[in-house]
Amino acid sequence: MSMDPSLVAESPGAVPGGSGRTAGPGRGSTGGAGGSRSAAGRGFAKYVLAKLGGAAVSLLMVVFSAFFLFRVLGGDPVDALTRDVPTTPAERAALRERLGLDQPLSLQFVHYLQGVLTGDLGQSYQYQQPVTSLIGARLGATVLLTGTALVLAVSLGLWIGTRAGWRQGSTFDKVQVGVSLTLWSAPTFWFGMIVIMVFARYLGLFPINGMVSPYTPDAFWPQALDTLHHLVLPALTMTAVIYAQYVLVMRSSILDEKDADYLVTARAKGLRDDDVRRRHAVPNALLPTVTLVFLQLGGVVGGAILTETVFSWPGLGLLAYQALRIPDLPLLQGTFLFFSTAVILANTAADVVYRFLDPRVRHS
Amino acid sequence: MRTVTRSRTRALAVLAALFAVVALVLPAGVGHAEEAPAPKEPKQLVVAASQSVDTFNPFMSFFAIGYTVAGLTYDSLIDWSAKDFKPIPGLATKWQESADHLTWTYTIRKGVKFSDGKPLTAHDAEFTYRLMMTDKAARASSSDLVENFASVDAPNDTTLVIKLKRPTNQMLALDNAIVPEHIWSKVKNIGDFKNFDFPLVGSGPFQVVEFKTDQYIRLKANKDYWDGAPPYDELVFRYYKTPDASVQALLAGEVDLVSGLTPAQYKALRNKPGITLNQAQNRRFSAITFNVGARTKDGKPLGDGHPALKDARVRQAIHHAIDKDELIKKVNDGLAQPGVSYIPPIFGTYFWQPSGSEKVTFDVAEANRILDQAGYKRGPDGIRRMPGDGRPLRFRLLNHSDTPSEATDSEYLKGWWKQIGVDTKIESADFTKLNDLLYLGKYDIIFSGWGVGPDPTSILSLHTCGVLPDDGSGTQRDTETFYCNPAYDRLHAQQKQESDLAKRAQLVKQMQQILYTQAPVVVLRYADTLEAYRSDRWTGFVKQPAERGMISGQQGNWAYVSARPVVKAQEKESRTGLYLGGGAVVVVVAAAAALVVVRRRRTADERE
Repeated sequence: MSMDPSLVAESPGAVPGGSGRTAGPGRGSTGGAGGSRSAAGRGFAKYVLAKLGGAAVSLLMVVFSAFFLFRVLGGDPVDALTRDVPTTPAERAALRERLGLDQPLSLQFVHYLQGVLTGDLGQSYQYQQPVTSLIGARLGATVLLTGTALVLAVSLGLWIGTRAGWRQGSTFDKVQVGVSLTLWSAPTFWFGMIVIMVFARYLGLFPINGMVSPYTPDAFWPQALDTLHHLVLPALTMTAVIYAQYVLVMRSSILDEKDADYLVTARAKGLRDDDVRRRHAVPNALLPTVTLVFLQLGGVVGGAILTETVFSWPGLGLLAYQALRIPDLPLLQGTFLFFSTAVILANTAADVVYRFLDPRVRHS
Repeated sequence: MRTVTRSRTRALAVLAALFAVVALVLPAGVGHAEEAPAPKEPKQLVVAASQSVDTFNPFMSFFAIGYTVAGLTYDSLIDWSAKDFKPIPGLATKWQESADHLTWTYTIRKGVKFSDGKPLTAHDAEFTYRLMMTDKAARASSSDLVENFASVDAPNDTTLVIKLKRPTNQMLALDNAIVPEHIWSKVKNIGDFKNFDFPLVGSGPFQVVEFKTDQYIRLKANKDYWDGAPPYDELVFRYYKTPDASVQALLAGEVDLVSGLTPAQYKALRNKPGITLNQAQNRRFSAITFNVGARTKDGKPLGDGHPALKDARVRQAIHHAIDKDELIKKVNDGLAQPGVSYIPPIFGTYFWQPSGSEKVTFDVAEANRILDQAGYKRGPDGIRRMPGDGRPLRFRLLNHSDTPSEATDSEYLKGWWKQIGVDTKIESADFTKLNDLLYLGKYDIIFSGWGVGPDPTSILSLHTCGVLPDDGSGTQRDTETFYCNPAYDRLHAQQKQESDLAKRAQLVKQMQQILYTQAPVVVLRYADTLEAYRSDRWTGFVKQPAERGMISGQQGNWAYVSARPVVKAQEKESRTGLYLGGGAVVVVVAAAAALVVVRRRRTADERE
């Protein structure tokens, strides 16, 4: 089964052509500039509403499927929970009762729906804590890791992609595309282990596990440094694995722009090559990448699960992995809902932002 | 030329930034292996763990790590000896059973203190057991033990009297945590109480002082422990979600003890300086179990098991067609013992071995002879047929898809069984799906395995008639083979009451003899527990049992209480390694930066 919520979250209109499905905003806007602007404003509001409506429908579907999807896995979590511990039938029955597994499925579903509506995602089987507080406690760690990795991957990817595209066919281009494709196709687990072996074991520079050490003084700076120290290897791994997509998109984007007339004009004005690239080509080539940053949040979730598992980084990815192993149904549902919601919101945001950025979408 | 200067400046800036990062990171990069010069760092024994903790409430914990931590934090009346798992004095220094076996009197150790300084008396034990008797949540994870209690009384500070409804030898297995009354009497709802108020208060050798979910559990040594203070300051369980990462952590010196290694990981650690391996007996066995006729308690058949497997002769013939030594050689790299008895040999008191004539050896001819004699004739395709309806002996063999070794096992089994005219269809299912099929009776032969505790009652109950389900819904999940044999059940009831250890062992062995000859289950092997520790830093681990014992996963705290730090000047050595490592990184970074500068200069020149 797949935890990749991007499978569930549709991405309507994230590509320029897709927005044609919604009512064209510019339609019927005639007359002066003022009239057209207000009509466009109304159109924009309508567009946003439509997107929000779509997002709401997706969310609803996620809420329903989250319950049944994981029930399809079947089985009795109690078996898994007590797998390595000698337990008596009475003990297992007590545990089943405590987890509410003795109730009929329909009743469990009603409880689940009531819970979702009131913001209560239930109690994790294995942690015996509310799922919402578990997610809340792990959110920071994931944002720190994926945020760092995303910022690094995007900046590195755009930088390399631009240069590679601008000098297509050069050694730099060939090497960079080769390197990023290799890293892109490397399994995160495997790559993470290599990183651990080189930097943690042989060089002894960084810790292997978790986010903090059990021997750091309980003060701000030591703790912050310790966390930073722990962050290096997972962030490095995750960056290495995800930056390739930004390289490739930026590179092809630049290639598309490279021979455009406005660049010829810019060169004709006598601008230096560097300036043509930086001031004219890059801003235009950036557009598809913006969408990608949003769209790839789903992919980042997958990367986070693997990276966090290799490095035992206590984030949402690790939580989802833990949930899957049991299966810890409330926790699975909770993390699935959370990831899906994040991806749906990101996609909706991408649609709106894109429309804002790209005049072609606005006037289609 | 302007570009060249600019790019060189930029490269220098990048280089400087990288140096800054390295400089920033290096001081923090000192692992716990390096003693910080200034204030004395606590001496920590760091153990790799992989299981999450749900609660530190010893009454509610269902996970192995929870048991371990509860056992470290609290004491129990009776301990399991390190030597051979026999019951030995814990908080109770001695005990006496009345002639009618219904009254047990325990003498509670004098001078024991909880970690907050308050004394531990028989009243704390009385409080603990009364809590379990009256509060449903408090007995959730302690079996049906207290249901058999008629009363618990502490007539004075050193005496505890327990009266029983029926005789039971479970009174020799009172290994549950005794909690301080002055703290737990204030707990309103035991079921919701997680015991996360650190430091925990208990009378055990270590108390939890800090806990970060899925990061680490830090326990501080109880310097006033009645059995002698642990010879170091802190015990830390650190989390590694992947075993490979924990192996690297051991090599890097981040962790001192790693357990549950695979044969490949274990072999890779051979001859590593400073690391000692431990190939120990395990409390687990792996087996195949047969669907001997799935049915409910009142005899209603369920599922779709093959009828030929109701015949013990068929099961015994299949047993003869298993080369356990070969399986161990091929699948376990030789790091296992061939299986016989249902209770693993680690529990020497109850382990049973077949005598010469009973012993089932790998013998295809014998297997064929048994099947021929029983009337299972071979068809034209070489597959045997059942006498009567002529149904071919074609069995589904179900293995766990998350246990790759079982897939290999399956292929070997299929090959051997083919030689005796049995056709095998190998199927895989994940753990939960496989159990679903098991309890619905929709299987023929299934892979199984259990971790066994020092008290054999619960594991042996898997084959009693009492655990057959009431209906065919598959929701009662206690049987393993749908085996039901009144003679076996009688022995089970008898051994439960027998408090004479030698007599009980006799009964338990008879039960295992039945399982062996009737063969509802065939034990394939006892895989060894594979462990490794930093012997350059730690020594003195007491193993359980004495012969080929394990360090982690003990029944008791023997290893953790006995571990001693190795005293030697290793600081210099590891610092050198650190500087070398740091130096290497700096060189690499500098080289990369230089490369960038050179390359930039060339391209810039081209551009001009």
